[in-house]
Amino acid sequence: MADGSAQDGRTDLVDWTRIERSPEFRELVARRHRFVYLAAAVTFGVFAIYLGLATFATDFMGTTVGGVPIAWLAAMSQVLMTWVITWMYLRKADREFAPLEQRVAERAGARFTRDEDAADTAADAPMERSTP
Amino acid sequence: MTTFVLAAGVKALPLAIFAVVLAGTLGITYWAAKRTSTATEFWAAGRGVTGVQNGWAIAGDYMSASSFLGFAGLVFLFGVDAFVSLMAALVAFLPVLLFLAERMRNSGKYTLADVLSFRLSERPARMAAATGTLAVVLVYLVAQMVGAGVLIQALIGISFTPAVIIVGAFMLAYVIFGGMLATTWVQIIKAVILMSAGVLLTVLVLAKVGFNPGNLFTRAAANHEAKDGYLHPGLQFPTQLGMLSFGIAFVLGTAGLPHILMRFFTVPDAKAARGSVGWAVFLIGAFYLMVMVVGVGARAILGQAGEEAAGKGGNLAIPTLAESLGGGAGSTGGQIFLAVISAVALATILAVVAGLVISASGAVAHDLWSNVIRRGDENERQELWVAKIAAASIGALAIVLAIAGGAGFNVSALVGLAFCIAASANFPALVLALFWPRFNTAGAVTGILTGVIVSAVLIILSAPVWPGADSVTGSPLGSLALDNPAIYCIPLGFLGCFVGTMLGRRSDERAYHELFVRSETGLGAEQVTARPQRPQRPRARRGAAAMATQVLPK
Repeated sequence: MADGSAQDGRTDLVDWTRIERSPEFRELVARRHRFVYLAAAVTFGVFAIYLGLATFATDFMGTTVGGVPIAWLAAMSQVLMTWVITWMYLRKADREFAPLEQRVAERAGARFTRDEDAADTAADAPMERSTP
Repeated sequence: MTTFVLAAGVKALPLAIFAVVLAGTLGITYWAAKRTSTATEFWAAGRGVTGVQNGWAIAGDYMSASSFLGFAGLVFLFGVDAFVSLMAALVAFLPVLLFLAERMRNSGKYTLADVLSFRLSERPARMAAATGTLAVVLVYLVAQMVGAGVLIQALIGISFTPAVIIVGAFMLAYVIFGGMLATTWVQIIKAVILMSAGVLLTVLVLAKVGFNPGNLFTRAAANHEAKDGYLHPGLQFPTQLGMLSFGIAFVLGTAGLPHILMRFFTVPDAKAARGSVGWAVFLIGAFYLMVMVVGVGARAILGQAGEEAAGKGGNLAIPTLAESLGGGAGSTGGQIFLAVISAVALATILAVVAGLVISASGAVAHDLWSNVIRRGDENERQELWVAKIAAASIGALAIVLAIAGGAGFNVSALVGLAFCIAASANFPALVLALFWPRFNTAGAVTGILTGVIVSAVLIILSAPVWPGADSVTGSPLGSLALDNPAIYCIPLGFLGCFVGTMLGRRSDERAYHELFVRSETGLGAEQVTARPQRPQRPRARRGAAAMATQVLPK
């Protein structure tokens, strides 16, 4: 990434490792990852049960309840699960993770801006892009 | 039907409705073309697509004709077995939401390769990622084009070759002139039309059975030769392993589809990226619920006699159902319904193929041309020209392949191959690049190549493709052969990544830490505050744009 070609911004001027070690960032990652891995485990678990039943328990899935086969109800439960987990993640992201991201950004801000100012004069003539 | 048939078997009414849809999309393209002059505008619609718009566009990008006609046709033929594919295709969006959507937006620019090359050696990583992207896109594109040709032939009466050329020409017009903005709006409009058609058909089907789902299933089972077997899984997949493999291919393959992941680069920030998945999941889930009802309804209403009209794979079950709901073959209402549903199906194909072509053009122009051949010496004007030439070439190649293979191509085998490559080549490399510190360039290259090659070989060896009797014994692998070999390919793809990583040189983990912080927080990501201003001169704007778009916390 030293050539900066894939991304915008002068990445070398930022101490990313320091941000990574900051308590704010670690809290963000710990909380988000805990939720994400749990949600992923539930998703794959529930889907595996559905797939397993559809594959191996065909008699059970073919039993009708009020005229409709359990296979249909099981399929609808997958839709419901997908909607619920999505809604939970979006809610948590807005209420919990976004403010934490904001805090990380604010903490990192001091360092960002100082480097930004220092590099300002040079940046007027875009330096990290090879000017044609 | 005689009153509505033009010369040479062309059906006038569906053609007229389809022509209206096409004219509308060309209008959008003209509008979008005036707003597309920079690379960001071409590939990412200037990052000005809102979360809601992007959600509809993802739904439009994802729900191909195979979702609408194919899945419903499979439900018509095989009953509850086909529900599994539908649900796998929906649940697949949870890994996308939880692991990829925001992280793609935070750390990439236009392509999957941006994320990989961030922390790996630029040129090999981009070459490998572009290979994965192009393999998926080309295979999927040919599948869609063949499907389009067959459908247009059946629904409108234009023969296969001109039908494929017409679809290809419109697809290229959207992408080359209107870029991502035109593609996005074509996808949004298609999603709206498709959802409306779904609601209409569902209500009409339910009205036929007095809004009692029990009646629906009872009538459907009575109308199937397997009787109660229609309500039991086991009709579609000959082996249990085959069913598992099919489900897994969809769940993990979606998270590796380049044209879906590319959509996350079109929104202004991570919040819009995750919100757009929310909308997409809502729309696709609702649509699949309707597909189940409509598919079972087709069986209940058309019965065994409908199988001939529904054709191979049941693809025409829905148009036939529409005709029947409108009043039956020959009646005016039946003809209008058939024509409308046919036009919807064709609009569906156009939106998907446009999305595929634009993601391929990114892989060729942004990854291979600018960063591999020109070694990062980016020249935006040139990159855009290369992008358009690449789009034209890939589109032309897909048209030629589709015509050469003709209707003889096994569409579902091709779709299976595309998902298999996406799941076993793109998905492992992408996830490991984001989450595994030790991952390195050698790992990415071996993993992606393993995924692509193993998928291709196993699909060729599978029963429907391998020459010989179309049965399990037709394959040299015997009963181990699967129509969709994802259950073998995905572990091999991960293994390739792992072995390559262990054998390769230790990577610079500093870059990993930067990618990790960026992907989790969005720091340093290109951001759009308001509607992008019209550039006076694209070239002159570059320096200033790079400054203004850096996320700078106050």
